[in-house]
Amino acid sequence: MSRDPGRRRLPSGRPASDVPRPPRLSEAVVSLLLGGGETRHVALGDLREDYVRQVDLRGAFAARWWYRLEALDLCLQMAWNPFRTADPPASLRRGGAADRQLEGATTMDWIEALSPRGLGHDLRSALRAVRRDPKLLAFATVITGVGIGATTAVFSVLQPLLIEPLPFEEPERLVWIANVDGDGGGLSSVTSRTGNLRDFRAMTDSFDGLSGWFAFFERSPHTLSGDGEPETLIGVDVAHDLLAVLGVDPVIGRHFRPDEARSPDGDVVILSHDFWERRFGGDEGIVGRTVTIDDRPQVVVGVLPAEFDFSSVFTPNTRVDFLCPFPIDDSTDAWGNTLHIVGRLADDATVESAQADLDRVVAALAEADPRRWGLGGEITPLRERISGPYRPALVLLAASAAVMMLIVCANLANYLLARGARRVPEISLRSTLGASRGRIVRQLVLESLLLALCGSLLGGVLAAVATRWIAQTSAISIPMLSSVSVNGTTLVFCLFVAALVGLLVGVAPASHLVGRRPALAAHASVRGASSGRSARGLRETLVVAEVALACVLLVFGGLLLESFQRVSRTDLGFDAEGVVAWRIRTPARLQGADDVESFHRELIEAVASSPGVSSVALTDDLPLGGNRSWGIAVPGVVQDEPINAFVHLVDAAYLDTLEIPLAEGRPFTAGDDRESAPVAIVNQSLASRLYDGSALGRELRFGHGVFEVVGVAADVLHQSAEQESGLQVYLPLSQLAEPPGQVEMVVRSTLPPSSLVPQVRATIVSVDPTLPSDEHQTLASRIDRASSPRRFTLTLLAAFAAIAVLLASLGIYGVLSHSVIERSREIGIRMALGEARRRVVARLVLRTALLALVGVLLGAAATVPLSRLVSNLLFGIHSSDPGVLATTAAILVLVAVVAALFPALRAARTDCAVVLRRT
Amino acid sequence: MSTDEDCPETEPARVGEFELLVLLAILRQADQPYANQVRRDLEENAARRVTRGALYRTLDRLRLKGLVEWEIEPSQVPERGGHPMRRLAVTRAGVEAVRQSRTVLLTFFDGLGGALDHR
Repeated sequence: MSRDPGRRRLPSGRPASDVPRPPRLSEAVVSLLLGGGETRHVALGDLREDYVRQVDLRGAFAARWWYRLEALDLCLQMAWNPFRTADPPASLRRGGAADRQLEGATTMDWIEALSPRGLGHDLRSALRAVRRDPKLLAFATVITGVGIGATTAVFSVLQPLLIEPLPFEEPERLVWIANVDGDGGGLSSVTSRTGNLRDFRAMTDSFDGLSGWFAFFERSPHTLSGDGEPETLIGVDVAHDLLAVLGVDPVIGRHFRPDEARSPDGDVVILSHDFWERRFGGDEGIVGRTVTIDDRPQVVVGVLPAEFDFSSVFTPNTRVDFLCPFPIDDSTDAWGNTLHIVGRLADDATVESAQADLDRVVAALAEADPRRWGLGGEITPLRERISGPYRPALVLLAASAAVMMLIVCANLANYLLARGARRVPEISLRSTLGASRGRIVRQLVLESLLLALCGSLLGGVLAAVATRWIAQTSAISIPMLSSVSVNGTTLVFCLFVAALVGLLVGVAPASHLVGRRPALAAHASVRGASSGRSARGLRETLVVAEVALACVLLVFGGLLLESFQRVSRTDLGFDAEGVVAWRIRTPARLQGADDVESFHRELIEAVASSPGVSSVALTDDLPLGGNRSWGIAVPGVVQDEPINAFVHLVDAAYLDTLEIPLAEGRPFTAGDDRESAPVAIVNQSLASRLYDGSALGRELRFGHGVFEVVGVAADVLHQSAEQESGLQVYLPLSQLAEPPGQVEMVVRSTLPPSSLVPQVRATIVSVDPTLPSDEHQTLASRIDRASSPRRFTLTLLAAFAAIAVLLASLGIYGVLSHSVIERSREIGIRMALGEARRRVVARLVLRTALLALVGVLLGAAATVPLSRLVSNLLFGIHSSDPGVLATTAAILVLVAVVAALFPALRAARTDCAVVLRRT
Repeated sequence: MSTDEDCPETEPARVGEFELLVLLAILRQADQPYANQVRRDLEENAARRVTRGALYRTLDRLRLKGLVEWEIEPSQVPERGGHPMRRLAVTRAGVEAVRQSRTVLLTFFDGLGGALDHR
């Protein structure tokens, strides 16, 4: 081949400064798409040279467009160039920018890898490669399966709560209107009076509809009698238009009519879908039939659709069997704050404009009647109200699942890198036979995609099992959990994660492999698999990343665990151990307070005489639930703002049975009856807030009644272990003129619940065979349920952290094992030169500990900006707690040392004679 | 991973029409056997539009067949912005392939007489 550059005619001979410059963006695109190889440089040069010619011929404007079209055409054509070879033969290259040998795959290689040509062939090759290595297949399937399973399960939980719209028509227009009435009043301070709903309906312009339901419906269970076994039912009293406002239509039947909501004891019901299927076998002829609830005939007018589970959305963990109409009138207004209000915004209204409208109405109502109480309204979007409290925990879980998935990817990539070193000769051979880098990359990525796909199959199964448990468990009190399932969207997500994992873990090793120089491949084939310093560096970096990510999860897990323990250790103010509570509904046949009282006395005496029972008491409201509060006042004292106190109606034995200590005064006695002066026991918080000095003998006013304080009890954490006790008042059941519809019978016993429950059930049935005796719960389980969202988050995070640590240790083990095999020559020579075995072990372990330490430091640093993910969930601990950080660091370094020890000991057993002979 | 397309063919090297034109064009550029000149020659004298991508692909293909080779020359003109150029050359096998094509074509053209004129 003849060559004489000196004879080449130059296009113009103009000075460099006068040379027109082609469009930069187009040039950059060509440069990017054609990668870093020879073709790019030559093509850019050719294009420039022709561009200058075009400028001379047609002018700058036309030339620029010519360049853009030319560049586009070039990129399109070169993207599918199957004939492009890796590098020109070394003998043909010389000097300059063009002499750069390609390192790693170029953009064009990736574009070629995406072309459909020869895909079937590559897929078959990838399948064969995966099948040839069952160890890899098992390892990859298990770790990606666990990762994808966990991620998919978390996604399934997030989906109904944070991603999917609420199961209502145009849910974004639905809002929640909370009352803001006094302080610390629990449920009573966010519910509203029915009079407010009536006035808001009449006076606001921002809503297409306003409706609500009776918030304390759980307190009045109903009994279904008639056909079959009597059954306790929970019914929600709803304004007649609630379903219309929510945009829910009965699946069969109709909505309530306004005239059907005339009294609290209406005679029509709409059944929940679950109850309809369970009790009536999904009988479509149910509409128009009469069922007997609380000994009164009720006509079924409709059945709710399956997708609207009232309890799951609004009151998680409470079963709802039917809806009945609730009158919005003066009779229910007198009950005080009892109503949850929801509204549907008008088409042109926003939350802000509706709030301004409502503020105007509230101000007008307050001005018209300055003595009106319980008036207020704060609007929040319904979704915010339902999922808002759980968002921080769910976002943390999602982030943790993602971090765990990254660790899975790092681990698998590490394994593939190590395996890649053994495949260098194979790849080199293929390259020599003419396979382009794009095709080689594609096959390697296909292999990792196949592995991830196997993992996604396992992950899908694991996620299905997990979501099934989550949907059915009653141990977790989080909205919408019952609709958690592995559905089409989840499966798509699962496959998407698998594809992402496949690409992530496949691309780095593939890119690394195809960028190897032939000389190295030749070396590898002679010396045995050796991945060289760069691959070792990459793998060690991955290990450091794994440790850092595991550190983040472990720190968060540790913080949540510590918070959980602190919550669990909180003194609730009563002793729940060994206490079981039964819900006792007052039989309809009993008339008047005396009858009810003697029935209760008979029941208590019968249960108290059972073996193992140490005391029995009655209350209308167990701790950690209910949240009913009443406005209180001290006669003669002017208050700036309304004060609410939680009210508990209890019998004389209640404080003693729950072991709530009395700080002052006396407990209720048998003498506190309807004939004697009304008395009350207050808690210490109330006594110190309302009275100067001792509260004993002082007066307390509820509505129109005045009570004398006869005792001061210790504070009880009534709402949750994480909230202040608030103000509490105990009133004796025996002084009530109207007996409650139901009570909770608390039984303290030395027997385990499994022995106590059948015994007490038998006693209840012996006293009154018509009483349902199966509604019982231990107070311990009630406490557990109150902390269930926290425990749920902690359990999942702990599982993620444990998997993360396990994967990180596997990664360390893998890298060191590989490194030991790879460097057996070096170790052998060192030992032959006199290095002691102990020193070999120490050196390897020390290096690993150092890597782990770097990972821990990076992880600890990462927890600082990420701490806001977890800060909302902490209780009594700071997100940078040094104890948790130190424990995490110690655990990770220890795990790293243990994981490194085995390969290090194996290295120390290297037979230097054998190694030297091989050398 | 190798398919038929990826494997360089050794004997006999058959060339398509455009490949033949490219080989001829390279041979015609006695003192400037560069892609731009080859392309210009083809566009001006073969009366066809030749896209840059098609030319590069064909050159890559011809090199795989062992009919063309090139070496990279550093650029010494400002118009190229410092980018190198490919100095193209037809290999011995390439010349042989061109010769073979010419023989085949001549054989087929020979004896047509006025057949082409009547169309």
